[in-house]
Amino acid sequence: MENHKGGYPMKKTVFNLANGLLLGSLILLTNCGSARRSEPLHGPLTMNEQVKRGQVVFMENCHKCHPGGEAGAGPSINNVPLTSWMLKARVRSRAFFFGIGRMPSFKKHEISREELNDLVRYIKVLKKHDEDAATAAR
Amino acid sequence: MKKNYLKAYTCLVLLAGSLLLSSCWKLRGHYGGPKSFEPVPRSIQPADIALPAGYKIEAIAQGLNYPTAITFDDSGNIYVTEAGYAYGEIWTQARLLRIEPDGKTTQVAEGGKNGPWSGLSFYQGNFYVSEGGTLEKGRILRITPNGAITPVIQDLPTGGDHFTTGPVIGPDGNIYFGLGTYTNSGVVGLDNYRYGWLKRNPQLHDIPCRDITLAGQNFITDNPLTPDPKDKATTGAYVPFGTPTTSGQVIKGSLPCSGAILRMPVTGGNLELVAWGLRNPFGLAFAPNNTLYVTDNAYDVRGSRPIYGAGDVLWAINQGPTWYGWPDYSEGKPLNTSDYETNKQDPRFVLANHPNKPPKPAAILGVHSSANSLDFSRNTAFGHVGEAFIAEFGDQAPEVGRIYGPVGYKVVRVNTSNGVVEDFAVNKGRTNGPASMHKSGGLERPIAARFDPKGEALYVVDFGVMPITEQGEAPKQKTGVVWKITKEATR
Repeated sequence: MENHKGGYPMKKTVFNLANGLLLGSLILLTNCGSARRSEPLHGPLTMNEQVKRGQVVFMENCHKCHPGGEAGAGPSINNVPLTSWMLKARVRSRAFFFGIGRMPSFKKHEISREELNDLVRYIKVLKKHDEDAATAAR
Repeated sequence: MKKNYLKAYTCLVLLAGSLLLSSCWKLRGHYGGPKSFEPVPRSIQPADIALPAGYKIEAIAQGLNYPTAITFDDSGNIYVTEAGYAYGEIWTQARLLRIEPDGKTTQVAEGGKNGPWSGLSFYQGNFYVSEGGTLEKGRILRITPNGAITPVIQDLPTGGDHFTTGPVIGPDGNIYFGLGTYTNSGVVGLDNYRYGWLKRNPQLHDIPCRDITLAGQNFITDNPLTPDPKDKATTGAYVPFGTPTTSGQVIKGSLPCSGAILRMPVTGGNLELVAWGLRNPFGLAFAPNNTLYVTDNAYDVRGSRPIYGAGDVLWAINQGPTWYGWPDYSEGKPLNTSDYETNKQDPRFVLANHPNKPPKPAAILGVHSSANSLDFSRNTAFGHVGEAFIAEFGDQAPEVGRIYGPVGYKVVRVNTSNGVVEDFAVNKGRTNGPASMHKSGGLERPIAARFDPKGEALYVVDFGVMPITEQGEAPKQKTGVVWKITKEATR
């Protein structure tokens, strides 16, 4: 986590804590609902070329902690009620949820701006892939 | 405008705070009650397992004792190994069994107290078994159809945290097998004492395949090998517990070695290095294009040098011995970054220099998913030709690190051309997890996936019920199952 030694501004710390509380709680809230979206439960995901590219970015960077967007080493993200810009900000900045959050940040040399757009599009499409309740309930 | 924004923001934060207080989120802890290995009832309900449309699953054998691997003879008969050892320190009888059409089993061979028998192949009339080596070091065994056992090679340096694995027969007619490391990340520590083997063999340590130069990283721990509770031990990498190292110290490489894939003729003889710098190369399989693929179980958050957030990996193995990164890289990335740090200690390199830049993985799988044996689809009648089907044993959290939700406990398919991982067989339910956690009749701990010789059916070996209790792993005897998945149109 960030080193707060050396006069880290109090105002900024409070703001960060508030942000962390907000983001963390939104993430925690998602765990009250199912995040399962995979093909055996919901059928194959319909993807255009951008979503397919985003899926590859997801697999290289996100899947290991959020397998298929479900909870794993990290919390589930398929049911995160975050907007696209919030998702992008979250990917670019280090997590801070009372010092617990520890998802790494991904800089532009790791995930380019174009790749980030593709990634967020994939996450949004995956999140919405829950309408086929009949398949899920088999 | 700014005031309104602040008001809205304050409301959001207050709302978030109340959500936090009422949240149903929690980290997964120990489960399964007191540690016991006694058999427990296991419901078998294929309908509790979800598959893509058009596929069907059925159980063809159950009540097996820690089954680990499956193969087929030239007549298409089905054989499985029972491990003879399981995490939690229990030794049972290692066995090779034939599964009869009615689901009953016939014993072909039985091993000694040196399991686990972790892998199985059939080639030119004989079976080849990898024996883990918990008490007498690892071996590759040749077993005739009438049960005669001959070691092809023995004294392999495994039997610590990880075992001798594989074996598979390559297109060149050689036998390929894996050697898992003794330790999590190169340093013998208290986690190894708790697992039992450090007390039995305090001299053991990882062995590099080629000469390496150490950075001189040392780790101070309690010393459980002496009666003085205040006694401390200082331990470096690639040396026995309680042995410090120095910067620039050279550790001589040799074969056989730790964290490697080796090959040799099926008749025994010349041992060759295929790959090194692996951690626990559990599953080996050749793709239709004859490339060797290997699943590698990644680092845990345990021991003197814990590593956070390391995903299991599917490697495409290069021609010529390449170093894949253990113990200083994960998924092809260096460990000395905050991505892998824990609150105990930042992972710093233990090697002064690295043999090569590790390659990029074919796919990155879930952290702690325990991606084990795999096979490739070769038949359009089953579908997904060229994709790898991997059995994920499932996490051993919280012993290996904390998780937000169960990881693994399923079969996934991997497109090796782009690294995309898709679920293939998973338990139904609101969350992922083993059947015993859902109180359903589905998958527990898939450990091997292998197609029949025609490629029409995928067989999944399910190790059985293994909760992680306060006292450690508690694998339940006689809860193993073999599942068979077919595409309904081809039956």
